[in-house]
Amino acid sequence: MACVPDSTHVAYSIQVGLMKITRNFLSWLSPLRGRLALAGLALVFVCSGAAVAQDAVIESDKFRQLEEILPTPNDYRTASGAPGHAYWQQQADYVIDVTIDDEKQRLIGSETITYKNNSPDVLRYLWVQLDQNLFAPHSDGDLARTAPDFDDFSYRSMRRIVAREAFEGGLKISAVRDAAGAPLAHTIVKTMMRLDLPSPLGTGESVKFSIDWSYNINDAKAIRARSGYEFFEEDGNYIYEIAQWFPRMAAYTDVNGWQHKQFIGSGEFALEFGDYLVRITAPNDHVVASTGVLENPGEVLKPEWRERLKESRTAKTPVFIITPEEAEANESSKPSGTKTWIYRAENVRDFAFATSRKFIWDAQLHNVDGNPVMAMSYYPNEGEPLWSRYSTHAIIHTLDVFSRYTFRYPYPVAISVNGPVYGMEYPMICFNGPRPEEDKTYSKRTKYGLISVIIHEIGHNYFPMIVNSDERQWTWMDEGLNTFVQFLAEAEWEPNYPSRRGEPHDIINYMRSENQVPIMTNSESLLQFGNNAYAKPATALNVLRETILGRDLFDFAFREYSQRWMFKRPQPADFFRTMEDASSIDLDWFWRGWFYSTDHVDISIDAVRLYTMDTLNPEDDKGWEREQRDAEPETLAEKRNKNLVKRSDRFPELLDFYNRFDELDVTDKDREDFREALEKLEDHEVELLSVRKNFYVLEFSNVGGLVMPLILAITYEDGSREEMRIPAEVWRRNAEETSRLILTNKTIASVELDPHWETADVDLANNHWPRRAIESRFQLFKRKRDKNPMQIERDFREKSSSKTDSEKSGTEDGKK
Amino acid sequence: MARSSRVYRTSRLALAIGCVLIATASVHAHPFHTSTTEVELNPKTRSLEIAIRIAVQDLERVLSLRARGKVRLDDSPEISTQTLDYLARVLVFDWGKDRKGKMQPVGKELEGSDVWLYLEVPLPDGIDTLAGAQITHKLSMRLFIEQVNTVNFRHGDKRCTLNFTQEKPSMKVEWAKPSASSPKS
Repeated sequence: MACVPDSTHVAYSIQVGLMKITRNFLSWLSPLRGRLALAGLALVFVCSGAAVAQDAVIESDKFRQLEEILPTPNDYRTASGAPGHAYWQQQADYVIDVTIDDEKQRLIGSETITYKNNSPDVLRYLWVQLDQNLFAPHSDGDLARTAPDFDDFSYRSMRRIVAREAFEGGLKISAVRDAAGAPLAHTIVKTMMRLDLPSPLGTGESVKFSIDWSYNINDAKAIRARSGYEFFEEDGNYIYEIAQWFPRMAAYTDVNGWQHKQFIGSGEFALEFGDYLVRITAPNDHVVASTGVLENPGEVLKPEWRERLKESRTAKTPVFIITPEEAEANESSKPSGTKTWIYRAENVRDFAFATSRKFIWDAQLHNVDGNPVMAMSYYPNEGEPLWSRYSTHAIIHTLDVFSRYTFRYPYPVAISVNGPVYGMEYPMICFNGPRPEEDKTYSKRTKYGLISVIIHEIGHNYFPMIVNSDERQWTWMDEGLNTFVQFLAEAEWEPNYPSRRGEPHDIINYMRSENQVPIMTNSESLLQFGNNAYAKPATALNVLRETILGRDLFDFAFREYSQRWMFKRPQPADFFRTMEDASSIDLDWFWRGWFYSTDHVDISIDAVRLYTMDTLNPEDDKGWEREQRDAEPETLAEKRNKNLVKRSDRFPELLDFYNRFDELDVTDKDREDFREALEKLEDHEVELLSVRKNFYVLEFSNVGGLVMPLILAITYEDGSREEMRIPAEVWRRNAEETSRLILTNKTIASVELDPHWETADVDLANNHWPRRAIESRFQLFKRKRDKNPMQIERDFREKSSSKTDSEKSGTEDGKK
Repeated sequence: MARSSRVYRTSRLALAIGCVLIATASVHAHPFHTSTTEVELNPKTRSLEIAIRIAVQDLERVLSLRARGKVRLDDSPEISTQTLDYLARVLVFDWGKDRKGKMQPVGKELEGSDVWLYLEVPLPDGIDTLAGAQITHKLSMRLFIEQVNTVNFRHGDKRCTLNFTQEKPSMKVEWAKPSASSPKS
C-alpha cells in the first residue's frame, strides 16, 4: 500500500490510508498538548504494522526458532517431543531386608539388585548411589558449606555444628557380592560407588548383585535433612522417616550416560524404575507406613485395624484405623519383640517408609477415575487436631485434580506422614511437617501451610516420580510443573485460597532484579535457586495457560506431555516440543524469553495518535479548525489588552479587507473548489470520504525485553470499555517497538496495558495512557495509613465482612 | 527404653523452641530461603523508602529465636519494637564517617503467607545519593545458612540489584546503566 505525502488541498489522489492531520497530536509527550497550531502540518499516513525490520542481530531475534539450541531429535526423542521408537531406559529391581534398631537409632540392611541393561551400550561397570554418605564426616556436602558468621553465632547453629561433628554418619558397607556370593570389586567415591563387573553387561542382559550395609540414622531436627528421626522427650519415643536409605542404582541414560554427580544436598535424585519387595523389621509395637502394598496384613495388623480398614473402603470420609487415644496409650508400650512388614511396589523409582509407636492412622479408599486408591495419613498426637481434619482430604483432592490435568494416578496407595521432615516426596508416600501449637490451636498460616505442602508433595508423585525428569539437572521440570498444578489444585480447594506462588504479579520483584540467571541453568547453583526452580517456571506456565494459549489448548497439550512421558524420562526439549506439537502454536519466543533469558516483561504504551479522514468539505474542516481556535484560552496579555484604547478605534480608515476576513470563514471560492474536486472523484472514492471513523495508532515499546501479547483495556469518552488481546506476534518484525491501528467511531479517553496483571509486567507506570503516577507499594501503604479514623474503621469493617465469608467456607468442610 | 547418651541431647528449653520452630519455611525440603526488598530514594522526602517481603514463617522463627520464646506476627499494621530492633540490626545503610541511617517503622501488611514490612531511613545531612553507601543485609542469615536477600535499588531512572548471601552480607550500590529504551521524553 503506497503512502504518499501531499500538502495541498487541490492536487491529491485518494488512496486508502491517505490522511491529513486535522487534529492535534494527542500524545502525552507533547508539552503543548491541546494547544498545537492547526493545519499546515505535513500529511502523515498510516501503514499498518510496525516499522520496517532491520537486520536483526541474532541475540535480539526474539522469534528465532529454538531448534538451533535444542538437541537434535533422534530415535530416542522425536522432533515432536515424544519418546522415539527406539527409546530405552534401564530397569533396577530390588529385594531388601531392613531392620530398624529403635535402641540405637540404627538401620541395618541387605539387598539384592537385579539390573537390566536395555541400552544399546555394553557396560563394564555400574554406579551405585550412597546418599547417606552425605552425613559422613568431611563429605563434599559438608566441605562445600562455608563457615558461619561467628560474630553472630546462634545457639541453634552451634547445636547443628556440634551435632554434625559428633554424628557418626555415613554408610558402612559390610559386603558387596555377585550373584554367586563371591566378593565383587568396588570403589567408593564419596556418595557414589563403582562396581566393576566380572564380565561386561551387553544389551538386553541382566546382572544380579548384593550389598549389606548399615548406618546411624540422623536426628532430623539437629541435622536438617530429608530423612531421619525425631525424638520426643516427654514420652521418650521416636518417629523414623526413612529415605535415601539403601544403596541404589545411579541412572544411566541416553542423554547423560551415567548421571553420577555427587550428592551435596541441594540438587536431588536421578533414579531408575523397577519393582521392589521390601521386608521391614521394626519393634512389634510400631506401626509402619510405606511405599507399596502390604503383603502380610494377617501377620502384622491387629484384628481391629483390619476391620476398620475394611470399613474405610466404603466410607465417605476418612476413618480412624488407630484412634488418637489408642496411639497415646501405645506411647507407653514396650516392645516384646519385632514384626516384619512385607511390602511390594511395582514400577516405582524409589522407596521410603516411616515407623513409630506414636502414630494415629486414618484412611479412606478413593476411586480415582476407576483406580481404587487407599489414601492414608499417619501422624502423632502432636499433629492433632489439624491432621485428622485436613491430611487425608488433601491427599484425595490432590489425586482428583492432578489426575484431571495429567493422567489417572496409577498406584494403589497415597500416604502422608507427619514427622520431622517439612516436605519431601517419594512414590506413594510423603513426609510433611506442619503441626499445630502445643495448646492445640493453629494459625491460619499453619493450616494453609499443611494443605499446601500435602498437595505439593502428593503432587510430586506425578512430577518426578512418574514423569521421571532429572531432578539434579533440571529442577524446574519437577518443581516448576508441580508448583504450577499445585496452584490449580489450591484454587479448587476453596474460594480465595491464599496461594503462595502462582499469580504473575507476585514475582515481579524477582523479575526486575538485575543479576538473575536463566531458568535453563543447572540446579546446584544456589543464587535465586528457589525463584528459578519454583516461582518463575510456575508463573511462566500460568501465563502460557491463561494468556497465551488459553485453558483448552494448554490443558490438552499439558496432558499430552504428561501421558507421553509417564514412566519415562523427559528432557526440557521434550516438554517444549510437545507443548507446540499439541497446540500448533509457535511458542519458541516464549520458551526463549522465559526459560533461556533473564529478560523481564515491561511493555510501555508510549503514544496514542489520532487521525481522521480529510473530508475536503470546507464547512467541516474549517468549522472544526475554528472550534479549535475558539477553544484556545485567552492569554493573559490578550485579557489585559482588551480594554486598552487602540489606534484603529480613532482612525477607522486603517481597517481593510484583511481585518474583516477570517481565514477560517468558508468563502465562496472554497465552496467552488470543493464542488469541483467532488466531481473529479469516482463514486467509491466519494463514499470513502464519508467514513467518519477515528483512526487511532497506539505505539508500544518493549522496555524489558520479554515479548508478550498486548492486552489492552480501552475506555471511551462515552464511558464504555473494551478489552483487546493482540498476540505476541505483533513484535515479530521489531521486538523493540510496535504499533497497532484501531478504527472506531468513538473517542478514546484512556488506554491501559495488562489491566488484569497477567503478564508479570514489572513497571505499571508506563502501562497507562494518559500517564498516571503509579505509587510504589511503599507510597500506597503510607497513604492508606494516613487515613482518618473514620476511614480506617470503615475499611476495617469492609475487610472483616469479606474475611468472615471466606473463613465460613473454610470451616464447613466435612468433620468426622 | 534406654535413651542413648549423645553429645547433642537437647535441653527442655531448646526442645520447646524446637517444637515451636518445627515448620521450616520451604514448601519442600530444598533448603532455600529468600527475601525481596525494594529500596527507593525519594529526593522530595530525602529518605529511603524500603519495602521488604519475607515469608511470615521465616520472620517468626528468627524473632522467636531471639526472644527465646514463641513470637507470632499479628494482623495489625504496626511493626512491633521487636521486629524493628531486629531489622535495624540486620539491615544497615552506612555512608561512612559515622553516617549511618536510622531506621523508622512505617508499617506492615500480611499477604498470604508473606509479610511486607515498610520502613523509612532518612538520609543523613549532606547525603543525597545511595552510590558508595555500604549496605548490609543479614536478614535471617543466622538461622538459614542458604538465605539470599535480594534488593532492588531505585533512584529516579537508576537501577541496581544486589543479592546478599552468607558469603557476601555487605556490599556497595553501583548503578546499572539505565535501560536503552526508557520512556521517551
